[in-house]
Amino acid sequence: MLKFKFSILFALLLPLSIFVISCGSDVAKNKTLPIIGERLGIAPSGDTIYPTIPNFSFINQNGDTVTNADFEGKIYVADFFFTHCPTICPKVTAQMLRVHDRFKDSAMVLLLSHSIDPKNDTIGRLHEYAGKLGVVAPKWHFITGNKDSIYTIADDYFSIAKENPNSPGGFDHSGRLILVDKKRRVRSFCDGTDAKDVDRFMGDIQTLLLEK
Amino acid sequence: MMKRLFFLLLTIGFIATLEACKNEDKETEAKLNQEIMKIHDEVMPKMGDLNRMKRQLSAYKDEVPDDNAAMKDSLINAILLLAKTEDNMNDWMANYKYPNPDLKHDEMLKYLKGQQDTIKQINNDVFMTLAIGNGLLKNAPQSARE
Repeated sequence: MLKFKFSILFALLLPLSIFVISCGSDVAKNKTLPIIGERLGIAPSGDTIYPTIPNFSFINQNGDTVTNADFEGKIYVADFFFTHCPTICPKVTAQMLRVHDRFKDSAMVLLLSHSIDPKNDTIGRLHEYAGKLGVVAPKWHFITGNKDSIYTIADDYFSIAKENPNSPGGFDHSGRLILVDKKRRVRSFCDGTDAKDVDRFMGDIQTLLLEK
Repeated sequence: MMKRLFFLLLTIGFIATLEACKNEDKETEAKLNQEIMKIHDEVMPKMGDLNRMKRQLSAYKDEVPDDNAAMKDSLINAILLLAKTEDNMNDWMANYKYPNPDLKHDEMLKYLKGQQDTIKQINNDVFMTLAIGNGLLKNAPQSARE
């Protein structure tokens, strides 16, 4: 009788354990994030060429110059905001702060917030803003600089990270958060005013961290 | 005893009326602020267009031959107008203050109505300057429009 019970238990547990071992590990191993943006072509090596974030040079809340070199070998989350924005920015910043807190101890993940009103968002103002949030560079850069350069790079980010491939793209004050990988390619984005979408996005950051 | 109760009830009634008026005042202010924010939300998505237009006109200006002074002047004027509109919007947002505990209701109402006129004017300016820019860009070479 006891043997019979064990057989039933074994029969129930075996398929379950196979399912957990095979499917569970496969999901973790195989899940990769897509590379976002229209393919630009094929390199002679056979690799597909994807759009990348171009070179930039801005000034952060400490008055230090921030360039692509500061993000080398890292992944980062970019957004566009301004400190005195009365409507959506406070919501987006609250979500960026969630991303910050979740990946605070991961040296691989950085945050980059671009002010789209660099005239009013001086270094001092950005410093005060970061201080109020309790965050510091280099983990989270708040940058100011040449306005046209900031808008140009916003167009670059948003022309890749757009919902509809046929839409013209460009900055739309949507509060989007954009995930950029070590090779400067966009790998995920979300609506920075929607906490649930940001949850999914944070899962994507986790997945990208595991990528070799 | 009755007299005391009467005065107590009168005082409570008086305070309650004052509080009700204050709440109504706050609601009027909040509603006006919402109307202002609605116009703000219409303008904000156009800010990227304004800046892009400015960059496109700037690229076009560089390609216009020096002997075409009239066209260069038109482009420079349009670029300055776009820059001014961008600045007006940013400065308005930087200075707009709501709620403002320093102002009494009448003053706050006057302030908000003034702000509503300003943001309406900026909204008009944005559409007008973009229309001017689009008109000029029609003649621009493809390279300047990208």
